[in-house]
Amino acid sequence: MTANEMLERLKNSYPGSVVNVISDDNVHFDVVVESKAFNGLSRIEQHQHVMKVFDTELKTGEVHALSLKTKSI
Amino acid sequence: MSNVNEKIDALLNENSVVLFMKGNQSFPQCGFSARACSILQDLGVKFKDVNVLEDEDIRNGIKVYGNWPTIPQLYINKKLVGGSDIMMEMYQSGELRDLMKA
Repeated sequence: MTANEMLERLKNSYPGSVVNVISDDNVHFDVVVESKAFNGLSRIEQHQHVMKVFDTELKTGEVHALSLKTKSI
Repeated sequence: MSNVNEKIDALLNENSVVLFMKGNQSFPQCGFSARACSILQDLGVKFKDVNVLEDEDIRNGIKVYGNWPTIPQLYINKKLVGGSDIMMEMYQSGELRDLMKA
C-alpha cells in the first residue's frame, strides 16, 4: 500500500476532515486524522476507528507500522 | 480460541502492568516495542513483558481480545491503555505516570 492509497482511503472514510499521511518506505506510516467522526470517542477509540479502516492490511502485515495522531474537531 | 483468552486473563490477573510486545524488555525486537519498554523503564515501572513472538496464539488472540490489531499493547489493571503512540502521548503529558500511581 502506498501513502497515496492510504490517503485516498482516509479521505473517503473521513469526508470533510483533516487527513495527512507521511511515509518514506510505504511500510511505516505517520497518519494524522482530525475529524468530527471522533466526537465523544476516547483516544483509544479514535485509534481503533482509524485502524479498522486498514484492518486487512494490518492483518496481512502489508502495513507494518501505523503511527496515529487523531483529534476530534 | 477460548483457552487463549484464559491465558490472557491469567496474565492480566497476575500482573497489574502487562506489555504484550515483540521480544522482551532486555531484548526488544521491534522499534515500537523498544520504545514502549523504554517508556516503562524510564518511569521505573515493574512490568510483565509477554513476548508474542514466542506464542502465536497470544500474538493473534490479544488483537481480538482488546480489539487492537497491532503490537505492542499495554494493559494496566486489566484495561487496555493502547499502543506505543498512545503510550508516548500519555508519557509526555504525564498521564501515564499518574495512571501508574492509581
